[in-house]
Amino acid sequence: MILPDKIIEDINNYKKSLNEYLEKDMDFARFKGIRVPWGFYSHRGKKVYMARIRIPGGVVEPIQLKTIADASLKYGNGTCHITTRQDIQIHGVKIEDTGRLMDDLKGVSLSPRGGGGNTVRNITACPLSGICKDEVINVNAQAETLTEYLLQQDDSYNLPRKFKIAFSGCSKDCSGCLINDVGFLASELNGEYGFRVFAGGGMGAKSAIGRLLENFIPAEDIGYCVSAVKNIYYENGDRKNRHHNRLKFLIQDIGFEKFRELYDKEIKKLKDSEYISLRKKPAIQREENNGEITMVDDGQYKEFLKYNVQPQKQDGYSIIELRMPRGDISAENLLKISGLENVFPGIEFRTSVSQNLYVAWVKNQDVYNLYTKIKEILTDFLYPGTLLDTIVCKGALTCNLGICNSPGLSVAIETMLKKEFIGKSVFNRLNVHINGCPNSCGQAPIGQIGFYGLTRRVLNRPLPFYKILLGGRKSAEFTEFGDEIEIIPAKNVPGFLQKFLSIIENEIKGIEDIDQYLKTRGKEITKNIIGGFSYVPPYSENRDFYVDWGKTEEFSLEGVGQGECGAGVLDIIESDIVSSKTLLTQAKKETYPAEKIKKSIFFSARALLIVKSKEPMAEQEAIEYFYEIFIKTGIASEKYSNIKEVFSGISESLPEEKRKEKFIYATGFLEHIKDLYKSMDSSFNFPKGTSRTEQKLPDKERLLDLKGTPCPINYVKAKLFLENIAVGEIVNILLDEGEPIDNVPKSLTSDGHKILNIEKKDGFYRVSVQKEGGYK
Amino acid sequence: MSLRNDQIERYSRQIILNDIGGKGQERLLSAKVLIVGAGGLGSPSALYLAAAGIGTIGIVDSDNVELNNLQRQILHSTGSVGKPKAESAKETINKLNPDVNVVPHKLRLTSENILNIVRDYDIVIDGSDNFPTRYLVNDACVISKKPLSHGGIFRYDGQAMTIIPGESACYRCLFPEPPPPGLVPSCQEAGILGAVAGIIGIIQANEVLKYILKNGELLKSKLLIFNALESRFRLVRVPKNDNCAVCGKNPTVTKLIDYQEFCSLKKIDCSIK
Repeated sequence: MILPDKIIEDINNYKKSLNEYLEKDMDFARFKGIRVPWGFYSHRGKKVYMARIRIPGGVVEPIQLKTIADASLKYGNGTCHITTRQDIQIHGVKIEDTGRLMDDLKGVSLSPRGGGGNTVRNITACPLSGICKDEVINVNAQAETLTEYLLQQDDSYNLPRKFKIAFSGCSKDCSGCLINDVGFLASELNGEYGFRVFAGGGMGAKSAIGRLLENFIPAEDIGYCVSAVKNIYYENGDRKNRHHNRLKFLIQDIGFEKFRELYDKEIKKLKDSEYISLRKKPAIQREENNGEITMVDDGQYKEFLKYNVQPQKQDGYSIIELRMPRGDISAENLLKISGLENVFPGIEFRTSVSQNLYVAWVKNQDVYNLYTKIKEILTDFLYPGTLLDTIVCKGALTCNLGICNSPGLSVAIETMLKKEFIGKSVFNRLNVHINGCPNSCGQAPIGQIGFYGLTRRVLNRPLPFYKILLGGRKSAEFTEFGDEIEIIPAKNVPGFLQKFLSIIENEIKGIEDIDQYLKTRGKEITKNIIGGFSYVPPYSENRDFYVDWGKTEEFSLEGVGQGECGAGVLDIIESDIVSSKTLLTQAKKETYPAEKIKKSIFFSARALLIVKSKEPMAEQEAIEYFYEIFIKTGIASEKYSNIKEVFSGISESLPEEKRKEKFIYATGFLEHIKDLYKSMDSSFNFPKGTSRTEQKLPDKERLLDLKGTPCPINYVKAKLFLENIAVGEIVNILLDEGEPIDNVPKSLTSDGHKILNIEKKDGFYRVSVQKEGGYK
Repeated sequence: MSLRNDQIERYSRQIILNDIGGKGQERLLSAKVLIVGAGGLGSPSALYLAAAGIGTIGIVDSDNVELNNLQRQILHSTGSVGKPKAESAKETINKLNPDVNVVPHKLRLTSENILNIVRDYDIVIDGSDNFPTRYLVNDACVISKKPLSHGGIFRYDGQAMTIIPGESACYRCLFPEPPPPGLVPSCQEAGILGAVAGIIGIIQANEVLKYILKNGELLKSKLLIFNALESRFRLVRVPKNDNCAVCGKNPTVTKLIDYQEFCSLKKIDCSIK
């Protein structure tokens, strides 16, 4: 990639802001708004940061890989992580080093720009494009030059929410065109090569599959197509409601037909007014090779050849895929891997959306030697693309939104699989995707077997749980999300999976459509065996269930929230809201039992407390907190300022009529909480109760104190103030004696305003001015 | 947007003006102006625009400051000789007004890059010193429908015109084709009185301010000509040319051409009909 000048220039602006932040001239929240679009997220605890470096199409040169590894050792904690968008992350970076880190990366045309926030995220492409036997078109050049084009534009960093683009070179659809905001799927039409375009896909708490936007466009039109979608999204996307602002929601709201109409208009406008042409990337010529792969009688090497090696499109060359467990690799090892180029000149590296690292352009005769070198560096790299190759996000240890520690679960699953499933049918035919929360960084919805983390309260104690999903897949037009089946405690997931796999191992031999099988028969099996895995023993009996995988301390939600990327606590909020609603529905059916009404009020009151870092277990406590945090501060309506009294007044001894009144109160209260939740902004802040503040400041009492303000600034301020009120409104302006009182009223009169009254006070004047039709 | 106290004070003398006020000032603060060339014309216009509080000023210039520039290019000073002009300009402007976001574009405009640069701005000031760039800027602005303030200087004479694509005459309506190379000396070769550059550059700044504020009357389809020796201004009407190659009824220039090559060709080859 050629790093656009704009990014290089913008680095200095970033550094300026960083300095201001370090010198305490800028606060945390404001600086967050700057650093996140630069790809710097805070780790849980907010002491260190993660840098997400974009790797367009996953193509990463040896020198770039080396620079990333060096930077991780120099500024980070020595770990690197390959993401499901082909980025490489460096973890544990100190904020003061972020500027220098960017300088180092800049030297090899890398940048974390757009790694996070409401930006055009890393553009993904098939990791093997250009060398894959199946591809229709080589697509990584498109990912790269489109990145260059989009990174130059200011609006690429200021979209309603993140914007994801993917390219797939054939219908195998490595990149998942239909789970991106815009997906380009290579295709052929009447002998011409181009793309089918899909729009509006995306995973998250509410996943959606993209729909066909263009049946065929030539490659030259990619820039127009993306710009048109982006412009429509920029103009029309929901910027306020954080759980409703991806492109998929815009399309949902206006309908796909209306969206297409806007798109057609925008394309026409762009073609009339702009000339969008992506850089042409020259193709690299390679020497021909006709070597053969050496055969050696070594069991592990044979497995390596079977699972890790595949022939390249170009004769005589092989591609080697290295499984990176959980996408993680130490910087030290990454450095050594990048150094392989010295021994095997000409090799290339690619990151994949399945969090692995490919070595490409390996001469066949070098495969064995390369294998022995890799073995000296890595220990766990066999079996990519199998059940063992779990796709998993970073989870609750580092991520602000993580609920469960998904990498910990992944380790437990891998240990179980290695013991008894290597080489089995399920091993070769299935995959597992794990998310630590209902967001989809681990892409659980498209996993054949998917798990996402959530929490459930058991006896008032929060516990890590996972939802089981079955039958997801990413396969161009046949992309489907898995069905959500059941919820089980985190600690039972490996046991459940072990039993589930053992059963289906015997059944899937003759089955072709395994995804359909999973959705029907798989679901049935799950339902049959789930009973044995859903029980949670009381704390006194088995503490283990209360401790998440890979952790020693008990599970808690501490630190969850204030998410920097998307959401997560939202699900916790929603679960309380649902509980509250369910109780009210029941109460209505059962002649308004006091207990249910009280519980409903408790859940309503507690729902939003989590964003204020409060997690009360007791009812009384929740009501107290709510009163302190939401009522006293004016966030919630004054109508509920009596909540403490009402709550304690509800009892079974009240006559039914009275209990019904309380029920109506509880229903109104829940509605109010839902409204507050809707009004919550992306930083989990609430607008202050508008109705109340406005009543306190009626229009008639507008006051502008200009005592001590000299001429003509006093007049300027009065003029500015009057600009922002409605015609006919009145403001009382306080002015000093002398020049101010002599001049300002005169000037305001000549602007067309009406001086209603001038009143002399002690050393100053109070002038009532009525806004009249504005100045000319 | 609401104005900070220091902004109210800094801009008070123009906020006071009828038809500007706080709303007008906010418009200026959120405006984005691209200045092509940080030279004789670009310098004075950049300074006055910055002083007025234009939010973003883009400066396109690929050259470094030379000592012989300083006679008229008042964005630069003796200490900045040797520095890239775009950077020197940024420093000077931010010294005057740190509120301005100055975006330096250290590059030569080409048919490949110009549309991408221009698209981020509201209006363009042409302060270039050569014909290839001037035609490129004109055509790019017409094609992407960006308003353009044209300015030109030569010895004791200067001229300015404002081009609103689709509405008023463009530079090609006035001069359909570039002169053959070598016939017209560039400013680098010809003499120029610094103050003439100042006068024309400031007229361009004034046009841009009016455009942003939606005030007054622009130099639309009107060429303002100034002669320094006589201290005289003249206004000449420039009708929109229906046969104009770029903004006429049947435009023949619909994609940008690299004028560097185009202009070095023989006259007979470069007719673009």
